[in-house]
Amino acid sequence: MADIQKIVAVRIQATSLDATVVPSFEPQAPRFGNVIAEASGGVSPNEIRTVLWQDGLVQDVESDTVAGLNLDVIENADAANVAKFQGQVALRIAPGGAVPGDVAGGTSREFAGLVIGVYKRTPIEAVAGTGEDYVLILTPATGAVIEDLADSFAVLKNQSV
Amino acid sequence: MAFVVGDRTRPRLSSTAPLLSSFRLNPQPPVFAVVTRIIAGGEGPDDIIGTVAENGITWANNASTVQPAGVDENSLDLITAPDATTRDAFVDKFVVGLQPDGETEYAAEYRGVVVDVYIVNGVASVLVKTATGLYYELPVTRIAVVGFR
Repeated sequence: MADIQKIVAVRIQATSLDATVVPSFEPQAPRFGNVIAEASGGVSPNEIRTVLWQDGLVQDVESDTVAGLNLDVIENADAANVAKFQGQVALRIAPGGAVPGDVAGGTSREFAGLVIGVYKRTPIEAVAGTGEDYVLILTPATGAVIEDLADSFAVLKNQSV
Repeated sequence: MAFVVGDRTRPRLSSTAPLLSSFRLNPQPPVFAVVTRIIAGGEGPDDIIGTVAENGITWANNASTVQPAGVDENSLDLITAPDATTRDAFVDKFVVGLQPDGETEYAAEYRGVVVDVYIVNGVASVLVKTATGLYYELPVTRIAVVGFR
């Protein structure tokens, strides 16, 4: 267990009816928090994690199972993804792959944005380091914040000076 | 960590996940609090009672869950004032972040104004706000002033 001091975020819920599709694409900024206390066993709910969220709220997240807490641990992303995205402007490419003749991969340019963060989300009940890499994007055109799998994004090469 | 009443602080998000900041996630916008009381923690770390400036949440008695014991100081970052030299080097400047090599600039969209200069757990840092509303924080060694402005 020993979840104290881990950085967590609420798990992204299913975005597809296909059970084989990894949930992704959260169209808002995630709220990050720091686990400051934990308790297990006893009467239901058996699992309690006290989280200090980034905006100062302290909240007990409760469930009968660790998986039911619906929390992901935020961990290091692969170094290659960090080097690829840090300080860059990125665009989400079409989940089905690049569209022939369209350098944007089929995604409108309005979805291009600044990379706020690159990290790995690993379910709190899973083995550390086994999660997927995500990028967090702020799109200047609309102010929208997008979080999705890192391998769904490409870096725009013509943005740097 | 030697907090004292009146210190600035914030929830520690120092996952080692390498992000724009090399050591911290970047909430939008950042949220800071003021330490209002310290409860001695015996042999362990002290517990801190703080109030968040922006939303008024007090860790001692917020509406969600009463936390009479406060928050372990190891869950908080200590924010202190920089020395005059560091502050003067960045205040009122237009800047851009640098890659870990300390030379390669971030993309032009990351250029922005310095909105705060402070020391985070001993590391002199700059908080930048871009024209698009993005906040990001980097150590001063990862910030370059944009000249000819």
